[in-house]
Amino acid sequence: MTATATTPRGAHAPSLDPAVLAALREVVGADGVIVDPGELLVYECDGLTTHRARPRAVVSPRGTAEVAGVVRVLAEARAPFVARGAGTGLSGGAVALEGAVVVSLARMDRILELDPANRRAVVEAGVVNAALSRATSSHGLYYAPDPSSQTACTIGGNVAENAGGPHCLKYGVTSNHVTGLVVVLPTGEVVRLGGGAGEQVGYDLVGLFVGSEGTFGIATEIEVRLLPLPEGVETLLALFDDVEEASEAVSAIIAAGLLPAALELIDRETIRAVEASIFAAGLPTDLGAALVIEFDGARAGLAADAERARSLCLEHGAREVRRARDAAERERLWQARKKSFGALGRIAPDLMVQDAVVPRSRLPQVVKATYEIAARYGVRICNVFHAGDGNLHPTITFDRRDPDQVRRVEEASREIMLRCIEAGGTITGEHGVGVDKRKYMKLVHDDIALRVMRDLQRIFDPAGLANPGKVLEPEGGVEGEGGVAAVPVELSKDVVDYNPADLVISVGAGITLGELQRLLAREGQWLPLDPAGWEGMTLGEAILEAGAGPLRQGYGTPRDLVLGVQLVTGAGEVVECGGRVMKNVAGYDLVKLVVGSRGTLGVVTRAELRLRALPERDTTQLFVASSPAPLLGLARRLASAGLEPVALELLSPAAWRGVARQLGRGEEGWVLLARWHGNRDVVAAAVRGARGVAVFDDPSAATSPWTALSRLEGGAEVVIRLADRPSALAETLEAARSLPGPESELAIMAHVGAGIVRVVAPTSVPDEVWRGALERIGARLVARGGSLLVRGRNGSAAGWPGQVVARDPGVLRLERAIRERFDPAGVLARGSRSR
Amino acid sequence: MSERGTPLGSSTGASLSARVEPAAAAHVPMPGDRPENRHPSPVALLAAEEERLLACVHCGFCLTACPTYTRLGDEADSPRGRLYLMRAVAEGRLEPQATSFTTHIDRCLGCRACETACPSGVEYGQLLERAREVTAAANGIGLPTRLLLRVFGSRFGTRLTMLGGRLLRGTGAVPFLLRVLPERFRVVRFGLAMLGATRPWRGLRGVGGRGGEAAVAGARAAVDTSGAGSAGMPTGTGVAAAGSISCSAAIDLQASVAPRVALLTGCVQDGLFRRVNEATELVLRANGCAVVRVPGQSCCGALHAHAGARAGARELARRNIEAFEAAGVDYVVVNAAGCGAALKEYGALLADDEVWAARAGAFSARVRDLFELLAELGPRPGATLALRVTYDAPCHLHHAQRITRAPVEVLGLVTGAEVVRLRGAEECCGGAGIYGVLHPELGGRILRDKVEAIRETGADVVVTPNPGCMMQIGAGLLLAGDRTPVLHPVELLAESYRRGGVT
Repeated sequence: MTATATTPRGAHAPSLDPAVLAALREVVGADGVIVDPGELLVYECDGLTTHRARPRAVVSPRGTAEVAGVVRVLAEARAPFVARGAGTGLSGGAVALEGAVVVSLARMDRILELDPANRRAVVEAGVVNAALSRATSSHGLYYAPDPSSQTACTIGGNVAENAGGPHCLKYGVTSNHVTGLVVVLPTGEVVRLGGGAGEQVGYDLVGLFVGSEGTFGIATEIEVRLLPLPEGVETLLALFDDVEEASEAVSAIIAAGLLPAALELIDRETIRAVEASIFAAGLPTDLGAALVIEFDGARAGLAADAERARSLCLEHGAREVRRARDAAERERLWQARKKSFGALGRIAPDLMVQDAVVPRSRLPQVVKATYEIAARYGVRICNVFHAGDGNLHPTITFDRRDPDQVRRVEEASREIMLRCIEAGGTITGEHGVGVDKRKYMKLVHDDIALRVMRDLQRIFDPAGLANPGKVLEPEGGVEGEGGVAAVPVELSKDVVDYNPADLVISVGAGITLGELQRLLAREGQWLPLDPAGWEGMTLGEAILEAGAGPLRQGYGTPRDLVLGVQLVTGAGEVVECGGRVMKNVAGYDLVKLVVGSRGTLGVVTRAELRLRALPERDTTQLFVASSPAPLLGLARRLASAGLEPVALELLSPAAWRGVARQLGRGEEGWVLLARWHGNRDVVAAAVRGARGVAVFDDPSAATSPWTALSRLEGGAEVVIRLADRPSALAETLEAARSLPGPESELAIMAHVGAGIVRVVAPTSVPDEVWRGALERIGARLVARGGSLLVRGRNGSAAGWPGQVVARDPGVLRLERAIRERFDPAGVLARGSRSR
Repeated sequence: MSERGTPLGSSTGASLSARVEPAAAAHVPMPGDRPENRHPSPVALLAAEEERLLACVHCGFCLTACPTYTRLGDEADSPRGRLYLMRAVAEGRLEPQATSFTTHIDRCLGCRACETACPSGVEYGQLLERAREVTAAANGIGLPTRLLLRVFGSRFGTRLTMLGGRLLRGTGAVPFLLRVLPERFRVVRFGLAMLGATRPWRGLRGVGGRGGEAAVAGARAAVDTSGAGSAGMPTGTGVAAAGSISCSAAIDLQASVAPRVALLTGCVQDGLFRRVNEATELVLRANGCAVVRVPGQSCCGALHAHAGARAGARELARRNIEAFEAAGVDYVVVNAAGCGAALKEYGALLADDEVWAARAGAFSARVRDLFELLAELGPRPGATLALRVTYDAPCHLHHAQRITRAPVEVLGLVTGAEVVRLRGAEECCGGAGIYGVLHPELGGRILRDKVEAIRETGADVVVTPNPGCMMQIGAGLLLAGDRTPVLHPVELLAESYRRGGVT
């Protein structure tokens, strides 16, 4: 065997000063510092063996304080560092370039807090992904993002890479499940990002940090969102003669409005490899493709979805569709897919696994292209896909001891990557840029975007110590002026690109949500977003305000729905953020930074959005009671039933009166509105389980309570928002009810699942009584980790205290720096809204 | 390359085959060791395992399956890290004498849980044995291990030592000694506790039943498969899980002849757990097997192979193959997981021996774990035992032999006992030969976790089909002041058959 090649980074960094080592030992203890070169060998690479570099030392701290201590020592010594979890990454993110010191978080494996009532947990960065779900399962909860390496990879690593997994089509990626972070900045300073209760205050730095691949600092504690374990699972395995047919079946399934939890495809070459290996699953080797489809959720709806998927597969030429009858059979159906990587590993000594993403509708043509390219270069390629979101993993088997083969593999990989980008995709969907794909960043980002990313990285890491050599190319090549644009006043409403088959639309930010929904409805699709007053609200405003309404319960907030934006900054730069594919980790997540930035960073001129098919059934029930307590109990029951409501709103008598008036209804009292989406069977079962006073079936009708509610809240001059943990909703309601003025006049509305209570302020200008009350209530909320915000329509909240919320001074400093970078001349008014 | 001191007898940059032979004193002559067994360069042997080493794609799935990695959090103490170090030595990037190599190879338990987790089917166990040969040649084998190999390498030595153990046990002095010996005599105390753990459970006869009739229907409902399919953990693949009731090699009892089987009586099993061998013979006969005695058998050689004394292991293997061939049996039955794994791997052990390779392969193909065989035969139900049992899976049964369900299923079918799932049943107990002596702190930590998990079950008894594990777990419970007895599951089967009048 030949000696393996290391990837030298210029001159070798000199060994660490003994004083520095001593200082490190002081922090973590002598057994926490490794310097023996033989011992350091095993840390030279992560899951990707083609990039190797030996670190100068490995330090293993326990706990945030020790991590901060370590980073402080290294910062003082100007020694670069790289955080490492389990080292299973596939982009070289944990490789220690420039003689970096590895900060291993493997010993930080404690679950710090488990809060089932609020479906959240706080974990140390070294907690293994699968271990988290195991620990929460006894509470009927789990952590949804499930990368294939989940039995070994750590949450910290998942955060660094914004990891995905087969289930992210339905459930989203890591970024959609992280709500707070404790971060050690590269100076050693510790800051708390996010973590508030439900409301976004300031910039979404959590969203920006997730996927920053260790170049912004080290996340030591992570607050995550947990989901209830699905009631049931249905698994199908469809066998096709042709991978194109299989891809078309995938598109058909999505277009039919079905949303499987997993949709995994393997091609002929992969099947052959599996069947020839010790993992043989008993599949015919003349198959073109095998498709694993899995539905999960309320049991009542699964059979209909599975049956629908089955017939769609057969319609598209499936030879056979197998259905699992029990857990053992389910394992068997997944066997070929799960063992594909291992089987490929046995064919040849080395694997080049690519992580390409394309719009789903382009899958068949891109797949054909990969075979054609492989044939041209004389390399062997197999394809494994997360077909539902267009993420494919072309895998080339080779032997790196043959330099000619290596060259051909690299060239073939590059061409495949180019082809994917041409098709509207991106360079990485889940593995990250790391060191491996740095050179491709220019293919998907122009100089302006790269400059913005570099500047952001510098704001977090002025000394350039955090994971050097990753994501962005070293200095040079990102200078040069891009075009300068004037900040627009009128925004376009044009549809730039809309392919219903991909469930993505690119549209001008001037379009109102009402207009957008009408447009989408023509294709049987919609954007599940309903902030108060949405009908007349522009898309740009909704994004900049991160506005969300009752549907946040089932579909999330704008950060979960926006895939890309075009932003014109205060400096006139036109920045293209994100893209139009569902999984995209090519560089920093600028989209998250823009969402909720309230116009302080720039104006959103265009956005790419994630759409859904209109549900087969959209049913709402109305419940009335004389006090909120029984309704809260009912809401809890409904939320833990098989099919969760997509919206659960509690209204005070005054609020309901405002709604009922518009609908011509006469009920009096506290009201709970519960809304369900799904297929016929599952909604019928859910509705059967809860008898309400009235049922509403047509959301577009003038008599829909949701439209009326939106108009009521949207029309209010000033709205006060109280937010705290959902489990504390009763107390938050009490606080709202204690606001000045006769209670019978207080219009109070609550997003029950989010713990957010809104009150329509009955007075236009607050007097001393009001101010005092707001201060008092705000202080109490903040002491419990919540917030109090006051929002006015069209700037009419002047005179009101803007917000009462705890802000970390370190975070404020970062936000100020970010704001200055985007709007150095301060031309963007504070909190202004885009038209 | 290690910075510490000068590597003995080697020169930088020398090609593998020209490597200077380390000091002769490092080689431990074994009984019957022939000159041609002494391979000149263990490093070259390791390098020759290229195909096995290259199977590792560095994915890291093995990390969380490894008891040393999860305790220490150091990549070098993970299977992936150890494989990386092996490759470095094989490729000449690291000296075999370097402590960065030997420390971590020594620290491995050899539990092979990594093999179960590995998606690429890396044969870690085989590679570890080669790596141990390298460390043995580079640094010699430590004294405690050398003594052990001397003892178990000779039948006389084994018998003498076991007799000594039985005598000491028989005096009843062990509990007294444990009470009076201070804590600081840790190793001695642990040794005594292990010996104490070999005493039979007197309460077995007093266990309640259900009318004495063979009641199996309820038992089926109570059976809880251990190990397989725990949330998030990948289970063994590929190699057909021998031991599941629907094994394709099932024998048709209705057909002609009762299977002729011989039992590997073992060293510790025969010396300190003779009752287990007696129970095994009873159970085999009850299930229609003709049991043949094979007096010429010897130690299975596992300890030698694991310690890097492969030449000695091969000698013992040849002796056993010869002895069992002469007996002419259908199956060689093993009731000790560690020995069963060793016997099944005789084919690999002697693969390079032109004369013996084929015989070893044929022999290994006849080896069956007791529960594997019973599952194939479809065991007769016995009398019900009203017991809450928890099952700990020996590493060499669960991971090395991939027998994951048979023991619990057979136990349930025969005795109707209620089997309670043990958290982490498939994790090592820390036994691993004399690991507890060589790595007391780490071994102790692993054992403590096992004891804690057992106590959580609230079971009446713990069963595990391997004498080393029985002693390890028994010692752990004893020292923790817990009186839960540890049994070999076959003891329960035998009791059930005795009561059911099935003999």
